[in-house]
Amino acid sequence: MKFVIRKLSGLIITLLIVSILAFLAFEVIPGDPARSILGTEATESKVQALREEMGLNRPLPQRYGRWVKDFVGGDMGISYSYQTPVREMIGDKIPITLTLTAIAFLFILLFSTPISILCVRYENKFIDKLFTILNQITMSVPPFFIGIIFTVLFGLVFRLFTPGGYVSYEESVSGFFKYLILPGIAIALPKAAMTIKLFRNSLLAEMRQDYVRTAQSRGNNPWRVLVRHVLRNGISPVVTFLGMAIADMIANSIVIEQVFGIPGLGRTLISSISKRDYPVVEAIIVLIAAVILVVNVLVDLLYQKLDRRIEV
Amino acid sequence: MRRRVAQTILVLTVAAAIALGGCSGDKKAAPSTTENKLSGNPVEGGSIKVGISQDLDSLDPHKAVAAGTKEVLFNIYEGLVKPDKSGNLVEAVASSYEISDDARVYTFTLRDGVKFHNGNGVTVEDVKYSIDRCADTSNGDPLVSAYSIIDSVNILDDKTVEIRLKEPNTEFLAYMTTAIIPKDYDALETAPVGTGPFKFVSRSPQENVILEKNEDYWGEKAHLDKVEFKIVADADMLVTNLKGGSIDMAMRLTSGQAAELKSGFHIEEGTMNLVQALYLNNAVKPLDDEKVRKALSYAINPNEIMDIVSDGKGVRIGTSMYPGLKKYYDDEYASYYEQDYDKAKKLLKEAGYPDGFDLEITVSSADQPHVDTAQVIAEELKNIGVNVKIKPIEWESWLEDVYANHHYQSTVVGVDAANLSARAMLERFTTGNSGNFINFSDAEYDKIFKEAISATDEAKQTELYKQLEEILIDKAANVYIQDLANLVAVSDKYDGYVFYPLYVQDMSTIYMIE
Repeated sequence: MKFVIRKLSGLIITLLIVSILAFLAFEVIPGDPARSILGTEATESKVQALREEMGLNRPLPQRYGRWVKDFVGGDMGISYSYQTPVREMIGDKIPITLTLTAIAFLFILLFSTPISILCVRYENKFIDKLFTILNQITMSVPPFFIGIIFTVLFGLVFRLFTPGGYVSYEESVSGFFKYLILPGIAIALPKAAMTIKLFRNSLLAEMRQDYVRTAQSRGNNPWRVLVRHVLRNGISPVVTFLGMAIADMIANSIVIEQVFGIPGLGRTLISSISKRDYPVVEAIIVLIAAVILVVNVLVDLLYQKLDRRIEV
Repeated sequence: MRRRVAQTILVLTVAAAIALGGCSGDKKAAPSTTENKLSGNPVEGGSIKVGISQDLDSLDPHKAVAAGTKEVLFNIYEGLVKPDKSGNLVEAVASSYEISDDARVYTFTLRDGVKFHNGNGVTVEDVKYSIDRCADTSNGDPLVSAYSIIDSVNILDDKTVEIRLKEPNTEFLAYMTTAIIPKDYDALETAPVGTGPFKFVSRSPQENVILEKNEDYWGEKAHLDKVEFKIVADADMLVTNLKGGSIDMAMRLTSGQAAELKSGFHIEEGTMNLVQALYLNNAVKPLDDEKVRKALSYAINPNEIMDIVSDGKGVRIGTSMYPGLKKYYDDEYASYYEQDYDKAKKLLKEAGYPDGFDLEITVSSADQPHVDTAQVIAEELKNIGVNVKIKPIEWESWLEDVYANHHYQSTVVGVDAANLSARAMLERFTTGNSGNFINFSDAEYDKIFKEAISATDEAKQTELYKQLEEILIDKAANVYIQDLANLVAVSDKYDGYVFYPLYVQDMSTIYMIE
């Protein structure tokens, strides 16, 4: 119980700080939402009238206070540029981005676990060396570049999918997942490479432990020792890494969405920032921060499960 | 048949160009020609996906300001009159109009049987409501600035509306393209209703806008059943999406992008109908000196810019008027300042800058043609000792710093016209005008402008507008460059693309071919 309260209050404080920083960022950067809406037809009086209408002329603390109050009450405000409730606007985009991140996460596990085990089992053999080299290469390629290569290769050369031809989950669930596979792999590859490197080293260190030698000398199957004992003990640093990687992967999803033309949060976030559409940006930033924080709490819990000595 | 005519014209133009080539090295406005090898029969129906670079800023036709929005809304809404492809204003919701001799009273008769997309007939009340809404000053300025001269909108009978102006204005018809919307309809932002050839179906922010054919359209009905405008924000993705088939058409490609689309597409070439220039802040040193501005004009060669930036495509212009507004455009103006570094240096010396000066060019970083142009200018100006620093900024910052607050030295941008009138291009340079971001101020200009807008004789008025254009050249208000080429890629499955002398995209002329 104490744990839950502690984590929850930490979460709320962090979210408050994030939202204040996001609010302040918009005060500092140039550009005015009213002027952005009016474009080149803006006259001073038109801008002032619109600012008044949008409530932008009120002092900052008052605006922030009001925003927090509404947000807590479930009202995310109205988008300046679309005149529709922010909740409606981003409601159906959140699942897209989160699904993409989840798919990427699955691919990381799918790639890294077997390969790491294989590399450890055949340490310094051909397969280990091959993967070490491949790893080094993959790690240094950013996801958006992999995305561009995928689009050209699988989209234009092999014609396996239509670049930009996103299928919504309402239209076809299988089509939706099929379309997200390539973007998911593009995000996963560099992270999977890092995970393999970390996982392999952690497992190798564990393999040098006395208990492994003992287990093996007792005639246990080396595969069995690896999977049943070493894996469990060597996984802790990987869990920490993956917990941190989630934040990075959401960020990468936002970039990859542009490359594949996926209408997730990313495009909305980017265009809203450039249009100075604060309500939308605030909501997205706070929601992403909340997701990351919750994942971190889950990682802490998992950590404790894996190693009972750890206090969280 | 049409194609044969086009070919004949092409042959004649080429012949003429060769014949004239000897006497003039200038870039003349070449008629848009396309290597259109399409064959096949037009079929009715079908759908098309059009890539657009940014989402619409508003679905309310009276509140939308972005050119990229208006070109889409052109298909949904209509005014009492609307522009046609040759730059004339033709009757739309009105079937006829009459302008009083003193150009103070405009009388419109409604066309019979024009229906809104919701099925209701258009009434004189709707017309009055739409115009009053744009003329309303309760929020400061009216939505359409020119409507500040409207005295009253009166319903004469159930077919006739008259608009009385406070002062004579012969060009007011150009402003009557304002969309007619249903009276007291307040869901324009989410469910727009107009009278155009296409009806609004749905919109998904940052994703798409979908329209369908209006079967009850009063005029020539559209060929396609469905049009999807798909937002492709990333310029690099545009070509990939075209090639992959997720969009069938895209406008305003660069010549590099167009060259990548070798098969399956035809490239239509027109112009963007805007005035690209190195706009100079006439109020800051050293640009407040006419001699300095002239020196810059002599140092910059628009032909070279076009050759480098767009493979020579585009039309060179010399003043704030683009060729699409034929009546007011004179291609003599383009060659007023021919590149001459010696003359430029001499002028700088006279102005007191024998060693040149530092010049900052602010440019919106997302507009590649403008950024590229600024780079060529920077190289050219080196020759007269002017040190250019290019400052790329976001469009939103550009609107604020450059356009609204005039905190800049010079900028490369394209300025277009909101409607088919010379006033739309020239009014901004009058002293104190809110759109006068270059701080140009000339008593003579202001005086002639006043005369021009109140002139009731059309020939006289055209003459006065041309005088204004000449003042802008003579004072070297800006360094004028070109009307940018507009390259449109259309999938070979479609034909019928038509260019307008305005920033609009008429989807009703496009049809599928078998």
